[in-house]
Amino acid sequence: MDDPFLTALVTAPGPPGFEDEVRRLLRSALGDRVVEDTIGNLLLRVGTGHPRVVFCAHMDTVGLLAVGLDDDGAVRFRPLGRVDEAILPGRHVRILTPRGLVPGVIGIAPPHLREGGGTGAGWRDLAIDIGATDRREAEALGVRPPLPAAFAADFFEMQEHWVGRGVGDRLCCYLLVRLARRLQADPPRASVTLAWTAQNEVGMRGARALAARREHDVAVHLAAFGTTEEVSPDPPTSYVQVGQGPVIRARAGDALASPQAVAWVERAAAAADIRLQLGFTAGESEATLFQETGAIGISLNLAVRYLHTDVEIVARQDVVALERLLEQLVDHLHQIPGRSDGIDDHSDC
Amino acid sequence: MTIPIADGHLLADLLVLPGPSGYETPVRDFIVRCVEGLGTAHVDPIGNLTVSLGADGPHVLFAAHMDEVGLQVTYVEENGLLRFTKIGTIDDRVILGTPVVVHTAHGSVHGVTTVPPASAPPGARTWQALAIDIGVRSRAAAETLGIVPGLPVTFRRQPVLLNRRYLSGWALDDRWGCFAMIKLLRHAAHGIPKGRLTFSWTVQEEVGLRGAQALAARHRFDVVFVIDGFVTSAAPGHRRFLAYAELGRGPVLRLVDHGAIASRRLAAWVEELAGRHGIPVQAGCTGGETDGKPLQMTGAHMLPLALAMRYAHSAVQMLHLDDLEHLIALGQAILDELDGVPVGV
Amino acid sequence: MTGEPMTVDWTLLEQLLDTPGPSGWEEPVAAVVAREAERFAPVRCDGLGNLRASFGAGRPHVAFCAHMDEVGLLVVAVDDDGAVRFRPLGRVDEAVPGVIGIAPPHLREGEPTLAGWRELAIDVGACSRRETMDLGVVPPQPVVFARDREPRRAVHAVIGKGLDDRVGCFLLLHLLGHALAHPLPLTLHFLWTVQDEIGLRGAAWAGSGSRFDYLVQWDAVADAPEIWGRGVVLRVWDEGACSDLELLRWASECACRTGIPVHHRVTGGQSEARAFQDRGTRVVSVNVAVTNIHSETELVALSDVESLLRLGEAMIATLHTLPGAGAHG
Repeated sequence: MDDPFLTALVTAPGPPGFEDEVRRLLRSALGDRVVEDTIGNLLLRVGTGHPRVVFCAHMDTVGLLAVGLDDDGAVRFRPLGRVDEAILPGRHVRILTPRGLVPGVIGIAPPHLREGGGTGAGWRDLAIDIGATDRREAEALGVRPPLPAAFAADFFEMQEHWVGRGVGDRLCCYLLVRLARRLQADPPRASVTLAWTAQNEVGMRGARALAARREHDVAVHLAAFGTTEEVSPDPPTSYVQVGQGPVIRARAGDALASPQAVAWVERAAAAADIRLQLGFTAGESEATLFQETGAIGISLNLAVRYLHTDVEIVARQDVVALERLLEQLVDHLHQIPGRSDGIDDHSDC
Repeated sequence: MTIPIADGHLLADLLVLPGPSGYETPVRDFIVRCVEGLGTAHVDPIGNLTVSLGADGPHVLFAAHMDEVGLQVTYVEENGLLRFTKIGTIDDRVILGTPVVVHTAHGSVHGVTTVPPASAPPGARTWQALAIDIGVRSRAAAETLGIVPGLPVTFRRQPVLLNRRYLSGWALDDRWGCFAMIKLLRHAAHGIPKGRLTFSWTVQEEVGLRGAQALAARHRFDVVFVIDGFVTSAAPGHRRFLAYAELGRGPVLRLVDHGAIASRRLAAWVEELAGRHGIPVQAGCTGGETDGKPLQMTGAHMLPLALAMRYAHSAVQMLHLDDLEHLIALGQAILDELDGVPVGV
Repeated sequence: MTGEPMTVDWTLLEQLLDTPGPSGWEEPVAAVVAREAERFAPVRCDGLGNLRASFGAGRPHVAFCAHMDEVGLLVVAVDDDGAVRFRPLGRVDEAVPGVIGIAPPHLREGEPTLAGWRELAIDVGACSRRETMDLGVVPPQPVVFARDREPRRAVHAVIGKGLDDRVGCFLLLHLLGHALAHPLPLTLHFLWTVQDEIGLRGAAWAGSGSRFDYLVQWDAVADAPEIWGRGVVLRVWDEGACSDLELLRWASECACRTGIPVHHRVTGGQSEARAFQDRGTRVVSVNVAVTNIHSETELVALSDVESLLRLGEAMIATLHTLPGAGAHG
């Protein structure tokens, strides 16, 4: 599993709405059968017939948007996606300019000069320092806002884990690539769409656009599941742990995973001797969007510690288990309860 | 990485060597190899490395510290998480969720510091509530990796070059100073020293100037130059004038800080010399302390020759390479004219 | 014993109070001290700025010391809009009172703009950085609290800033004549130190160079109703050092014999005694009570100053009775 493509895919900058680099990598891996829709999702269709199943994972990672330049060369920004403000100061970033990546840092007031009291600086009080002394120099470096910026974090292995910013979600993208190759080599007797969605972190806009087309009956969403094992209270989420298997997101906010999908997944897992975890989160998942358009949906996740930080941790064995689970699922597409022979399409669309 | 200055590879190597206060051996070993044969070398009981050369003339000390801030493992939990304490002053926010390296007797173990989510109760994000996660889930597994309480931990981050001339990363403070001193010692050894020279790479500066105190207890100097940073508030988007010196406008004579008031006579001498050589210098006041605080008490004229540095004690602390080159040039000019340095009253 | 008229040169004390000398920039007041002291003995200056005059010969070595520096401010930067940023030199009351002036080369009055020194700036009436720097304000530069009036001598008190520790410096100068006049079986050093208020640094330097067997440190303490105007304070303990008990007793007895009321106190703060005690010197700290210490309107009772001077004179006359003095030399 250690291949350069994995490293490239995990470390490629891709703030919401600016996933170009990720798309480029995916295209290079998938060939010319992959198409891009108007919002930026990448789609690969294999097979024909029913059921119509979509497997999706999102390409984007929470980032920043450079919005302006100060006279002293400071680059002002705002978050793209939900950013934890307290851990912004003192981080390395990269600004995506037309001429390439420009490195910068988010400054932090040094402890030597602070006397008493914390500085609860929100993102509005911070700036990116790219080593420019004035506005003109910043522009000469290619920084002409508005431009996207990504956090520049290390990606490395640690005791059978992968660590880095956004590893959970990018590993899901990676698993979809492997699944795509498998399906291309041995096409299924159903319509399977593999979707690498855009702009998830700013309201799941890519998946929303895809779901609105009502082209699918079943949606399987692959994503990261943030564990809270290091913060002991909060029982509903604290049972999920990194390294204990793929996670069925039983509840995503008010939405329940479709029981039919859950049964399908559980049966497949049992057949392959894969241990699953059951998790509950407050936020929605992309599967919910498909459910709202009449499909059945389920979110299968990789447990991730320290989600949305520079040091997300994913267990290698969870990734392996999830891949095996996906293989089982595509081998048993016709065992989705109530969906083996096509749907009753009562809609007028 | 390639640092675009003369002998930049030495600085690049120094920046990645682990050396939190009290655990400076890898850095010292490297410097010893760099300065072999250039003078009489000695390591004192606390760990300062001292190289002496020259016999006649004023007794002049150049000092820089080898240590950096870091963490130290204090306890291995049953669940494999490591509790730690700080080595040196570090903002808690900088510690949240960042890659670290635990240095065991047999090698490095990678890990990360934990980061409770933003929704966690208040107090969950103070450093005492954090831990180091090395990816194991039992104490036995951690111990198998050689993890025991007391091990030093460094922050892991490759330095980065911004806009071609700004260098940003951990351990800049004060490895650039150690590098500058190697260059200056080489310059001094190349000719005939104009004084009794001592170059000292000190230990444990970040935890109370302890190496320098030990040095000051046993020696007398006429003149002391401390090579360390000048924490500046002048950064884009920041309140400029708390401690003012600009990156890129030359080395900074650190006249006043919380630990000492430098010798104004020595500063005037350096300024005049810099002017004659066309080397830009600035002067300023900042917070914090340097090794100069105890070393001045040996009766010496003391002046820190500093580099303006932004964002001290974080992963993004930054300096300007032009300033570093100018500081080395200034040090060489000082060595060449050392017979005229002010001594005594 | 009390009531004997003393010849006290009050104008010298007032001159010392009027001369600026914040920690690190003591030159003006040091010049006044040196000029006065040189009438009695050669004055030596060390690299940090401490002054010393010595009398007699042989051991033991006894030192009387006081610090020349006063609490002040330091200009650290000039903002774009001309405002002058500063920070304290020494412990300064947060609510910076009244008017702030700037030490040589210019004397200009300014106004603080907000409460709390971190937010404060000194407005020197300039609108831009260039203008302010043209006025001669170039960091780093010391600032002392300006005096809006001449130092006042009320019937019973002297009012001014810098009583801590100009009163001690004044005492030492007053005693020089006595030292010269008395044959001494030992060496008596008079030591005026620098940078006390920012960490006892002058004393640490001086202490590192020489070894004194005994040291009497003359300083000021914050007042309390029962001691102001009622004699001298012997500092038994403070945050830095514990006075040598035998020396304390000697000082106490000296005071009693001279009819000077004495109060033994545990105080806050630190004195230079600590720096010398670290080097093995036996120390005692003798103090005068000062109201509003570290502000621009300090008050000291005339009678307390006189008591201090009398005590100093009595000590010089009886140095040979210092505990253990006979064991030396």
